Amino acid sequence: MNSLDFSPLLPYAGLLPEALKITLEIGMAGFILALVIAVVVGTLRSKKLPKVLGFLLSFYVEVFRGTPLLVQLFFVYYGLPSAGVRMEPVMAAILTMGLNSGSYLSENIRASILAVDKGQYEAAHMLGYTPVQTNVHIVLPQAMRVAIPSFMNGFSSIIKETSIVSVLPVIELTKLGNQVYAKTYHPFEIYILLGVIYFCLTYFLTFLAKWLERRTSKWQL
Amino acid sequence: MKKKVAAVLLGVVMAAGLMAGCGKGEEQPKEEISGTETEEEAGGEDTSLADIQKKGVMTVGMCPEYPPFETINSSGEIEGFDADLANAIGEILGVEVEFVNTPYEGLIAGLMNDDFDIIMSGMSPEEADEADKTLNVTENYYSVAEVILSKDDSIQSKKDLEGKTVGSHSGSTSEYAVNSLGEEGIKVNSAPYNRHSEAFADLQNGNIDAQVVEETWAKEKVTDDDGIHICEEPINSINVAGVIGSGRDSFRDAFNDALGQLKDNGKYDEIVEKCFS
Repeated sequence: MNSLDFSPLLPYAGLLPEALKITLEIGMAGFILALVIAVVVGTLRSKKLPKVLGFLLSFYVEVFRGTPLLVQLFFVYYGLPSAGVRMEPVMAAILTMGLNSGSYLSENIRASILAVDKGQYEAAHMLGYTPVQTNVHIVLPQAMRVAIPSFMNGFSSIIKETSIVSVLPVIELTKLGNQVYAKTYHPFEIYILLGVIYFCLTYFLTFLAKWLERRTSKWQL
Repeated sequence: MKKKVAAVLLGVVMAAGLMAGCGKGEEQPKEEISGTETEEEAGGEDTSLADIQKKGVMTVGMCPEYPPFETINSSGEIEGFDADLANAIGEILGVEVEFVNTPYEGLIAGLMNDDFDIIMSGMSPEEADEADKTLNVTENYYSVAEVILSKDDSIQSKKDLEGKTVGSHSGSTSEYAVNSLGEEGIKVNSAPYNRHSEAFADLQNGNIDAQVVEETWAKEKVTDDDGIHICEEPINSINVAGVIGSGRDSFRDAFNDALGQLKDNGKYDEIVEKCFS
């Protein structure tokens, strides 16, 4: 390839903020949804459950863990309307990313909950805590601390995976890159730039993760 | 365009019907878009043209990664031959024209879901038929040759491609052209890519011997100093048409009438001149 020349991309710089905004929007909203799903599903799955509920939850986790995100996105946005469920592409992206990432993270939560010592439950019971109070006030806070590194991992993944959303009619970063690429034919400059942007976003997250870890480990012996 | 994609999609759509009940009922947000489109199927009257005129907008699905038919400009708007032609047709029909920026693999699916009224995205009637025979196809509004690009001077016509690796845009007319070589007894190794640009990059890197691409695209991309030549003799010629949902005959007829008017009054030639010269 010839030497890199970023100048032909300059006229398109004005399109970047909007695409960046959509990427962050999908990434963050997707992550928040994933967190909620993960905490609920992970907590439930760490307990003994009625058969039907247990089956449904593990079905959800296995399906979303076991199929490619690309297929899920296509299915949710293009397939579901034939079953009468229509949504905006950004909404479909957030929902799918949340469900996808939630399935992974719920397993982390489950593992973290199982790692909490049995004595904690017994002590809580002794002190008169109900099972729900035990989980909310005693077990989950301890489990969350253990799960934070893997959550941050999940957040970085989700930010990068938003690039797959470019199969939907959503002009996020990667899609913008593809379209400017088609127009200017400067693939290397464009993808280097995309790489740098994604890297900056996720690198910032690792700092956030370390800070959170320090804060939440304050009382740890 | 897209036989594989269409096949996958059909599978997905069918699976959707089956699975919608069990998979994920709980989390669906309530923000469904209320279906504004009216369905005229099931033996009802064809109100497709009236619906569009009542709406005052004709929405056009296109994938702006295909110069000179459609690309984005520096303000993010879609421009190119398909865009100009759509605007001219909208003017005759008395409606605004809106472009829906859609990935190529989502065009047929989007049309079937009423995300837009028509596809104008360098699509050929064969591609539309391949996806679904019941789709309405307008009259051809352009015809473009599939040509061979190569760095190798020994490749000058399709016969020289025997035993070579040839790149194309997966599921598109260029891939059909490559496959048609096999039917003519010329054996090639087909290398399908997601977009022409990727095949072109690989051609420049020397990983494939030749690329098959529409002449209009080739003329836009091939420069004097990249060492790539366009072979004189095209493999075949491909028509380009608008694709409209099943049963929407009145809209198709109005589109064809408008196209005829543009050809008669010279506007069509102006657009061709502007975009392809």
